[in-house]
Amino acid sequence: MRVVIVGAGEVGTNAARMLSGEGHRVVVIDQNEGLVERTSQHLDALVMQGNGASPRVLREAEVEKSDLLVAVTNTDEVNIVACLAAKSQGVPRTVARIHNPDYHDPKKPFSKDILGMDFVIRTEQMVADEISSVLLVPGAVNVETFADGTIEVVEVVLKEDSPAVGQAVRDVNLPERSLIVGVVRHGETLIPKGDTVLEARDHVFMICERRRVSEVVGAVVTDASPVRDAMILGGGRIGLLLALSLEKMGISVKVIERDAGRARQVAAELRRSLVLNDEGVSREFLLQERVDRMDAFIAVTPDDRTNLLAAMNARHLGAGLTIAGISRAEFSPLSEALGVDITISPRLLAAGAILRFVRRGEIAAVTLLESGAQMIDLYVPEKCQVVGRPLAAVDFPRGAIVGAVLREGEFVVPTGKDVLEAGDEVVVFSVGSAVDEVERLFAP
Amino acid sequence: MVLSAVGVVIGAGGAVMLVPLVYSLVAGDGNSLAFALPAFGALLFGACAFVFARVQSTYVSGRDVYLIVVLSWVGVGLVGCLPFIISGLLGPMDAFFESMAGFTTTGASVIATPEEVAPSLLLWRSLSQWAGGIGIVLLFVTIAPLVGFGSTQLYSAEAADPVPERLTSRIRDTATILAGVYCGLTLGGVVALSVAGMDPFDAVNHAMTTVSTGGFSTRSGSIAAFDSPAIEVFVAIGMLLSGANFALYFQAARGRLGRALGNVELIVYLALIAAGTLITAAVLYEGGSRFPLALRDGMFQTVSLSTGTGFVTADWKAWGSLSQGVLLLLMGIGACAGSTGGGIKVVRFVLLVRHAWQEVFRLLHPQAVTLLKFGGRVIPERLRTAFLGFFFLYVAALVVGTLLMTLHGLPLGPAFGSVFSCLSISGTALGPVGDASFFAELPGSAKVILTLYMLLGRLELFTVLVLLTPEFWRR
Repeated sequence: MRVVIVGAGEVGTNAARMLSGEGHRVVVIDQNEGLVERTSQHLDALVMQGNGASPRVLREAEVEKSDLLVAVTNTDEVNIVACLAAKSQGVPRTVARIHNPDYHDPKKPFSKDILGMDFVIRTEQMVADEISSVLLVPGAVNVETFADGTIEVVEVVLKEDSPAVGQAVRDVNLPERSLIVGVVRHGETLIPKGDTVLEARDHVFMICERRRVSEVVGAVVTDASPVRDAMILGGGRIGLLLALSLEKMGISVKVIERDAGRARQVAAELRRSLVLNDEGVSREFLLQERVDRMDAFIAVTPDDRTNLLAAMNARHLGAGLTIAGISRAEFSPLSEALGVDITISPRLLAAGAILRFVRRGEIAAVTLLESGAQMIDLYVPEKCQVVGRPLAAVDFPRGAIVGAVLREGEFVVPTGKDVLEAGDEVVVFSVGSAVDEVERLFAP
Repeated sequence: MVLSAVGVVIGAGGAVMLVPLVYSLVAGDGNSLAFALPAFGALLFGACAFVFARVQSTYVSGRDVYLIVVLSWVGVGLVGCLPFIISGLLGPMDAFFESMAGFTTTGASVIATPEEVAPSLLLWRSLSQWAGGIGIVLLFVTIAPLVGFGSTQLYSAEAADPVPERLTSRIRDTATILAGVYCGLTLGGVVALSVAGMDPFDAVNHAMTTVSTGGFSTRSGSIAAFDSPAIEVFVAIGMLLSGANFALYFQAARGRLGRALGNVELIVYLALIAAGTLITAAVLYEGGSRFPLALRDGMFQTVSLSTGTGFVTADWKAWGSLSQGVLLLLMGIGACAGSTGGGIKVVRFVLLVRHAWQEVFRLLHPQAVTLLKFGGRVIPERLRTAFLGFFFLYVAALVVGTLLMTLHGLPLGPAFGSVFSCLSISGTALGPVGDASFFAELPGSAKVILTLYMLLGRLELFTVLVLLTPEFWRR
């Protein structure tokens, strides 16, 4: 497939890397000369300099031969015009990143029919949704939903006092019909075997039915009290959307925003939350607002460094769960060292969304993890290598595991003896290098 | 410019006076001349002002507007007092007091026994309240475009809504709709009161003074003279409806009944009245009154005083200090903005309470962004200072007025009560205040002061006070 990506920022570059890694031919267009030069050095793609919304530039990029246009610059209007121009030159599918909700109402056909955007990525909304879904499951640092909400993969970080530390995976006392599908240790993903021994600070991924997720988390996490009070640093789009959704969940929220005018806007939108106009870094201020009593501290300013430092500071002052929004890939390995519990990356969420769109039809869903692992939700086709044989007999790659099978609405945690049938929906957890092989196994 | 506008309003006042003139002619009570002279005089004045002082300019400066509003009110008050003087009923000072109490819908009266007064004069008294209720200026708003200037500013000065709510884009349409609602309520009142057993004359008079929340009655015993539960209920409902923001009726008529009923001010207004009713009824019940009667009296008096009407069915001044305190408090808070009622208005009260709470809250959270919200809308900071300034002026006006009244030898209680009754446009307060004999015996200068306070209360302070600043008269 040929893909044209407009905008070589974090989202664009990441999407380009991922798509070219999947074997697609990628063209990237950006206006910034320096960025173009840097990107072309790191990317296996054609990188062009120019205005991606200009029909002439798009023609030079041979957009008419492409199957997909991805417009992910920082400016909504540029993205919209790029989609319109691409549609007019016959590109079948377009994806646009939109910040301003005015341009996109999922219930109205305006953005698709008039503005020519087949799929809209709203990173701010995705980040806010992601954080609220984590806060809904106390003890979890990440919750991913598959198979229309029936299956969940939940990520927890083991603390020293967790009952699971020092135990082999097969000995961990998990509730029935749940499974440890992956462990990320020091940034590397392992697919655990029965004798893999869990260590403190391991990120453990467990799969289960949605309704039992708290039970499963409770089995390995000691401190799983629900979040009642949350503090949000940064009243930008993400902060506001998050505060709105936490308000709906009944969480009491304090939002800290530096800009007085923006703080007033945020206060006008929120009903019960307390909006504070402050930089949010001074110790006196944070203690006066009882950061030490907060169950969660979430830093989502536009600046990664501020987020990381603020989360670290909050942790130091006694806040419970700390969450930081990190848009630049370079910083994410630091988060664990800084004592930040969860980092949320708009870049990764956007790339995941683009991948889901590109693969629509073949697979139901895919989720990218920072460590390069993927969680893939797919349907078993009629004729493929995994059908009709016990899983143990399939030459399954070492870096992948079938975590759950949904057969006629029935949730099954498969063992080596189980046989997959056509029409089953399965969730596969795979390290990055094994993704291709998994896809080949499930290819018709 | 100012002259032509004021002239038109005075002319309109004269036109209204044709109604009692006709009544007097038909009844043949000998007061025809008392109405004919001022009515045609006012019409002539209005016509002259309209013809000779008309200016072809659409621009009206803010200060013109304030001047027009205040002068119109005083002018109509002056014209309105003439029938009382010419008929020989009252002296000039008493007549002006009575007339202004009518046009400001205060309802304070110097006439102790209305039964002895000619019906045509009583009709004029009620009519002056009815005209004052909707606001002479609202009539003016519908007429103003004929004179040739835009009336937006005037509307904002007259309606003085703390949160201006424009109903339609054109002020004239708005005025027409509001007038329609007002007339509808009045007609409904006439029908209801007739059905409840009043004779047509009383029904018309009371319907007019109820809808305007004025409180003039044709009987010396006020509503109590009829001793009919049905009449009390209808009057109470009428006062309650007139104390709500008229913009809500417009909304409801447009099919947005849910939104109108969800209005925060309306809910607080009803809640305050319900609370007042419960407290006063409980106190009465405790004092040995039978339950239905306690509730009936408690409710009527609460509605009557919190809307600033001032009708009485029971001797509330003998109800004990708790009930009296509650009723005076409700009188001070008053009715909704955009109604004919008085007081500081419920919306201001709610915002003042919220502001005070925020000040306490800010001690704990100095960096908190505390927006003043009302019904989901954010009140601009500029209006916050306006509320606070208004409240300060209100209290200051009460204090100064009380001191001025003590100068006339009144004890502190009645001195405060009389000023408070006029500023809150209820026309009644504790002790002797509210009795016709009390007002009648006041010296002339005290009556002038109280008349000024009626105007201050009706025009919500700022409009009148701005005329008293040197800055206003500077070129």
